[in-house]
Amino acid sequence: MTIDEALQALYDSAIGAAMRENELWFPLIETVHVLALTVVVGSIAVLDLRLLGLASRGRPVSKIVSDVLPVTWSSFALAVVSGVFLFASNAVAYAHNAAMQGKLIALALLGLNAAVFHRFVGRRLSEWEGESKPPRPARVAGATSIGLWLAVIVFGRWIGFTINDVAAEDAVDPIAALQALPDWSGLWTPLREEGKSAFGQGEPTWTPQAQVQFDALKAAEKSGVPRNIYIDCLPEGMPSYVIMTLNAQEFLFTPGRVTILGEFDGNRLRRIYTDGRGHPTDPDPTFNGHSIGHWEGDVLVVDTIGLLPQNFLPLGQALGLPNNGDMHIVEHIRPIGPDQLRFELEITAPKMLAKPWLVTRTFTRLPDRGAEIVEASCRQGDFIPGKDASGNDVWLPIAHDQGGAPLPTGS
Amino acid sequence: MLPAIQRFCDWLQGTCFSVGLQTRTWVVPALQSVHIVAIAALIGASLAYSLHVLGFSARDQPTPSVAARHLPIVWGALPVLLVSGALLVAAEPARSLLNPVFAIKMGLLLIASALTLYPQLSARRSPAFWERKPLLKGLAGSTLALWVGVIVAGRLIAYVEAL
Repeated sequence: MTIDEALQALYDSAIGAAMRENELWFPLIETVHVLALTVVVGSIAVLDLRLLGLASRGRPVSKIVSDVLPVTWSSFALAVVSGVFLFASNAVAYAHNAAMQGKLIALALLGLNAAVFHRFVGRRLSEWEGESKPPRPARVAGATSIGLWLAVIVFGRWIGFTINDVAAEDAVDPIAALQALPDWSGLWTPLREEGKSAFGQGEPTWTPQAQVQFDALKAAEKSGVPRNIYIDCLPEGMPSYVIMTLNAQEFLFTPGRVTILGEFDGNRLRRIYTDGRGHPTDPDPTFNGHSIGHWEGDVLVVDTIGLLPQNFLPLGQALGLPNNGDMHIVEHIRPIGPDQLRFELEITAPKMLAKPWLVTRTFTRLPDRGAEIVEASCRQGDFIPGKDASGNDVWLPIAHDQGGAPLPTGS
Repeated sequence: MLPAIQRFCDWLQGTCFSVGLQTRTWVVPALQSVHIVAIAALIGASLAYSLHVLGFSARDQPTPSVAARHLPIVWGALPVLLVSGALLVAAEPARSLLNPVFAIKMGLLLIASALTLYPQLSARRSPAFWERKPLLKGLAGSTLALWVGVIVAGRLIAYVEAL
């Protein structure tokens, strides 16, 4: 266990968590700490000044020791305990704070100073304790103690003014954090073989009512009169965006967000917030829903809710049923090779599925890293470039026959 | 009353002096450090005197001599506290002057000072005052409690929102 791991464990401990979560604990325990500290310094100063021969000169040193040290030690214990509580609230940041380090060094030197005093000068206390001006080593010990305690106070007060800056310095720079992410640049195209079937995952477990509808759809498809499901130029939406699309995708990593750009206008973009926010409590349903994500190593884990009830649970271009609401999708977007990304979806749709549907889709990266996504608009095919009466360039609707097929335009 | 204090804070905050304190980031922590050192001196001295009067320490010493040794420290620390405190107020007027905890602190401070002064003045008029043990004990205990209250209130100024 490294020091930082130990500090993190202290931060995560019940004490650390309580210090952060309870609004009152930090101010109250800090007040106890300040109170204890002032008593420590105020009482030890009585002894230090006596050792320096500056105060209480008529009173033997041993008397002063028995007067003040019980107070000093008990309040020191209180200061240490309260200090540990304060430290636990933000252990890693405190440990990396220069003022905190200075304070701990000063405390260690105070211990050393006391030990040296007791080992040498203090052993012959009875020989000189009555003198109004103690011998030089005792005076040095007293002066050292006062100086170091002043340093403890100044360093301690400085922690409060620098800890936030240090936390900010230590916090990962959002731009630098992007460097740690895997390289997902380039264009990713879906494997067609997978797209044509249930991706080798088997069919979902439908509810009994949904199973009846699905069987009817399958029979229609087999009989050669399929009912295509993406015929209205509306966005396909999730999960079709991933598991049914035939188009390329690209990833944009920006601070706190992953954006997936689709090629086709109906699949234009997904915003996946990776800044730690949660879902809204009552999201407005959309085709691509509300997505939050986080990185587990090189794997992007995405959680999506807020999807339109009309979004299909698709098994083919002519095989799918609406989810009918309350759909929830968890995706693991996992690199499975240098140029392969596998989307692993766990789709929960209680209105239609008897149990979650596990389905994957693999995308491969185009070897040509300079390839660009092609602009494609679904309804563009319903129009033809032409001229209006004034000679302006305009879109003219294409005439359709009664069955919906475009008629020849004559040009 | 409150609007007048607010106007005063706005004015004080805009003075060259206050701006000078605000813009040097080391000033406030340095002043607070001086403030805390002076508090340590005050509370140490007050504690030494009170614990003696209450019978916990230096029992072999006569009370007048303990008082003569320690109480002057209180009066030495108080001006330092007032000056450093006033500078802190000047650096951040609204933080304290509009803070109810600051008002409580000042109230406790006045009472604690009066209770420290009272035995010294009385004893100067009549040394027999040092023999009135129950009264001295009551004064010492309540003075100590008041100083603790002053310190607690002082630290909590940082955590209680100004009006």
